Amino acid sequence: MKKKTTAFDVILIILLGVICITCVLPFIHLLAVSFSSSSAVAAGKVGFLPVEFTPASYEYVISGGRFLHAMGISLERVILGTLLNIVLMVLTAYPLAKEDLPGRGILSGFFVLTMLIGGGMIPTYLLVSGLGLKDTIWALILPGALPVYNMIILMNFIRGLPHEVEEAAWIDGASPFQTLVHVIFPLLGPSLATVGLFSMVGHWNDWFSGMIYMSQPINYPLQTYLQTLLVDFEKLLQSDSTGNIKDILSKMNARTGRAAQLFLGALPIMMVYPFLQRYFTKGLTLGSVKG
Amino acid sequence: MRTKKLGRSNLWQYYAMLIPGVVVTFFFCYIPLYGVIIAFEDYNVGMGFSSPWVGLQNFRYVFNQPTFTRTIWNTLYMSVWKLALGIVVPVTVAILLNELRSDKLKRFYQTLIYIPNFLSWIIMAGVLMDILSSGGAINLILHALRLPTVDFLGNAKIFPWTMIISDVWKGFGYGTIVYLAALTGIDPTLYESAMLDGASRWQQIKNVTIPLLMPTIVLMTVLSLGSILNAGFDQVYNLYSPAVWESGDIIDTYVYRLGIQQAQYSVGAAVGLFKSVVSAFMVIVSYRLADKLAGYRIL
Amino acid sequence: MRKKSFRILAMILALTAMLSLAACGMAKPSSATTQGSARVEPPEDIWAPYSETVTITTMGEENSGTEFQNGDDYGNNPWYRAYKERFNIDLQNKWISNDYGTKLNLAIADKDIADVFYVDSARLTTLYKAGLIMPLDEVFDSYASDVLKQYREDYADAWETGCFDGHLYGMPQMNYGIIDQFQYIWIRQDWMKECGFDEPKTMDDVIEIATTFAEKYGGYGLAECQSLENFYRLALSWGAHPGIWVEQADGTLGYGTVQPEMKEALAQYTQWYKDGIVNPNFTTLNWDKMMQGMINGECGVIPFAQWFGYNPLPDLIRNQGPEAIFFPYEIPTQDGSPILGSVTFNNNGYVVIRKDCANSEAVMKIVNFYVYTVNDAVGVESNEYLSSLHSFNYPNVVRGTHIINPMNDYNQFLQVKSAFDAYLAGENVDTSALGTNLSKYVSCVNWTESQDPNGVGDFLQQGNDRSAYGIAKKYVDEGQYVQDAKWGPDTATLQASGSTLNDILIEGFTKIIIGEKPIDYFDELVQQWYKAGGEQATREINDTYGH
Repeated sequence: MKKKTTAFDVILIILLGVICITCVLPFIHLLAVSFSSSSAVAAGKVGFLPVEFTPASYEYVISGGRFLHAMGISLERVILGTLLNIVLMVLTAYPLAKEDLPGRGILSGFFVLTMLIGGGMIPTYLLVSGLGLKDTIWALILPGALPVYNMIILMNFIRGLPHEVEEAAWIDGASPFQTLVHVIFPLLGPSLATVGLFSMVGHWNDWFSGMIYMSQPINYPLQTYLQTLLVDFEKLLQSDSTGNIKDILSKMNARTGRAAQLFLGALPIMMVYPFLQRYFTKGLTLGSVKG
Repeated sequence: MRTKKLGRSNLWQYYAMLIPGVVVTFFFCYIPLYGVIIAFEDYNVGMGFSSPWVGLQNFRYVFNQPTFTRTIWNTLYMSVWKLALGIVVPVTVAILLNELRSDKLKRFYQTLIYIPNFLSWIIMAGVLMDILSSGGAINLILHALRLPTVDFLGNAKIFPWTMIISDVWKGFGYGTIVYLAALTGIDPTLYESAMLDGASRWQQIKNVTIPLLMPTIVLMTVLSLGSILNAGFDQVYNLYSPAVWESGDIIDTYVYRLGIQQAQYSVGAAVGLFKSVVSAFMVIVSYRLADKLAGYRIL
Repeated sequence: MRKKSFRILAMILALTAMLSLAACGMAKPSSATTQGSARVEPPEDIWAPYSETVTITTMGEENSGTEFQNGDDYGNNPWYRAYKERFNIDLQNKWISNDYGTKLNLAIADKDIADVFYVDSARLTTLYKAGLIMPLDEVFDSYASDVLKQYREDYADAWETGCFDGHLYGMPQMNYGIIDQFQYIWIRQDWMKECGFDEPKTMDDVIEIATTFAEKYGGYGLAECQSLENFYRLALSWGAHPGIWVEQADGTLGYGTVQPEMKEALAQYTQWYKDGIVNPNFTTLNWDKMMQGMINGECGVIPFAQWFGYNPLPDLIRNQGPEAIFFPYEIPTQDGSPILGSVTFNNNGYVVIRKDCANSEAVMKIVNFYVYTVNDAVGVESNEYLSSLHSFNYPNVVRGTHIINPMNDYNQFLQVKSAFDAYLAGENVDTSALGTNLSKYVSCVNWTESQDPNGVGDFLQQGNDRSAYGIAKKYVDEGQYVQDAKWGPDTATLQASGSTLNDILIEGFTKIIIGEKPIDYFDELVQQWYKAGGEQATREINDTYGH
């Protein structure tokens, strides 16, 4: 199956390379900003290398010991939340992928409708509070336990699977549950890696629910904690006449702080990403197994 | 599409699998739905959901705002283009990535294009303002090439396109991953037999890849039609200015300036409901169209 | 294959169980914050401690950038310890959040509010209507300290805005005083010296300075950004008062931004833009980007508020050197008469008490204590003790329970200035009398001695006669200002329209300035504004605040 490299391949590599570079440049710029002095950033001097190198913004974000604690809560949420998401998505997507399941249309509609309309923040909050979930990790996980958008994507992946394997299982007398667990689930590798990634990133980046459901800052997940570190200059100015503003401003400004926050917040999830990617491409071999 | 048979017995097991999803969805999505009534009330957090009933007054109030109509057109203009390019670009990139010979390079590129998804618009806006300003990188390049410079953010005619292109650029990594995942499901023997038939690479793309991607494309299109009235609040809010409100002010930014931060939940709920109705309509119509015209049943 | 899948499933289940156990380890709020405590008889003397510990709950705003000393936090800090030690009051936080408004709305919707907290005027009305807060008349009369009662007398109009049907429901928290509300023209000093300019006496002088700077040093004459805030500041020169409600020629109240004086100002400003004096790119610049230009030395003249020295000046000095300091100047008027600033009703919020609070007088003790620390305590308590309460971000801890002295900044300026004058004259300075204002004085000295950029803000705000407060003190003393006729909260239409009414004007003004529309478009805009709700708002303002 070895083919020789043509001009087309070279152009392809270069074209895609250029596109990728445009995606990475802002990231490098922000990395440089996060390590630059606030005055250099305020003057717009920072390009792709730090100017007047300082780790002050990082020290500020990490100092106080709450950073690691918040990261622990985030990790817990991501693991628990993603597992729950995957279990529920698979359980829901598999039956819905059966086109001749009676009542399938109504059931699909039941789920899709929730993507189009919502009751808003307050009723959801009252429900979570009424269930006594406030200040527990479940407040962050249960309301979004079934991500419908990703579930539908998964459902379509399932439909795209070669269904001869399934039929073989039925002939062997497997029940739908057994078929799902032993036949379908192992084939879902790349699809689960994809929707699992979206789930993970969603759980990791969500700061708002942590803010509304946790009463003590010590219970904040990482992104909520980082959000509290953003210096809102107007707010400070309004509430403070004792001259402390300058102490904060001299250390960092909103932009260097945000950049540092971004990196510390994004780094763990980005490190997971390349590992997941192995699964993305694995699908190729899986597909040819039966061939 | 192929039809699939169900297992001969144990039909109940399929319904049993659905129970957890249905319960969770019912609890956390359907029970709170009573909240939409505040769109018809003069909602006051203290009185809760039994605040005074005002009928359609909140809707009338918003629609009678002098500049609200233009925000609908601006929203549609931007979101339709974002939607269209938001399909075309990721599909193209996914196909091109799929054509790469080296798996390593493919994986590497795939990692890089997802990176902008990690950056929030508030961060990205700061970067874009630097790049697109009159003395920014892009205008310097245009100047060096003796091309006229462009006021990307200050010219009302150009602003919507600045939004469209930057949004597509920032988000295409997400779609690309979905399409790539769909591509990994394609049976390689299909390509092998196409090659045996002497198909060129372009013909393989056209005859094998695209048709197999089609269900996913249709699915993504229908799903994204659900957000036809969301033209990207975070992006526009962080990049627009009074000089481009004419073409750049969208429903969400306008409603925000109308005072959603002052706890005007009723107006927000009214606009939300309006958007829900429109997007539900769009999704249903496109779903039917996809089914009737192309035979794709995506749900 | 069967075995392997089961093993995976079992692992998932075990992991889930483990994590859900771990999840129980989250900190829960103490039981006192979930249920009210029983009433404890208060002592006779309002400054005396309770015989039994009284628990009071509060909800607070977390301030970004908050810095605590050695192990303190929002639940344990010098303020809370003082309540415990002095009054035997245990103040507990129900929650602390940096999105206070959202959390508060949710708490109100859930009918789960603390004993004491602060609200804005819209929520004050909401809570009153919902019957969730108590009238304070009785507890105020019996337990407010004399100084606090004096505040109520001195600022009766503000306290009136916290009343419904003649009963006090919210104590206004006030602000640091009108002295901080004035506008100036800030001019770069090294360039001014090089070009040999004196203090500008007319607007033509200002423009000459701006034009000369632009010719000589590049860039542009006047800084501006997309919100047109600097234009609004300069409009004072024409006697216009954008943003506040003023008395019109016929005696009724009207909005300052739609008055004919604004049209004159706008016509001139449009000309300046055409002449290339106003930053030609202003339409795309937000505040940060405008200041980026200042920091890079693109411009030497900017109309701005008193806090230019805090932001962006320190960064500007770090980039351009200490000689690049800017000084504030009075905005000259068109006819040479004394300039009149605009002064708005500035109230940070209202302190309210939950209806079922068993020991509401304990709240008064907490409020009294804050008032005490900024007034009578100076000289009684040690400087170290007072600054332990008022330095770093400790003042934010009491955001929900403090009531500010509106003469705070004015008095502070007098103190800091006299101490600094003495220092400049080489005399011995007695810093013990400075109390919590010590840090401002130290900053002024630091700037003078070592050009520490972190000190320049205080130096330019209050360091000497040429400082912003030096100029503003004259405005306050001579009554050189127009007070917003809307001396209280927004009316219904203003609340319902958010910023959209002002946006109509800003969008239209922008079009006029960049030449897309002629100056007479102003009249059309005013009509648009009236039609979009301005008329209704004007009627309401006249009904509520007119004579």
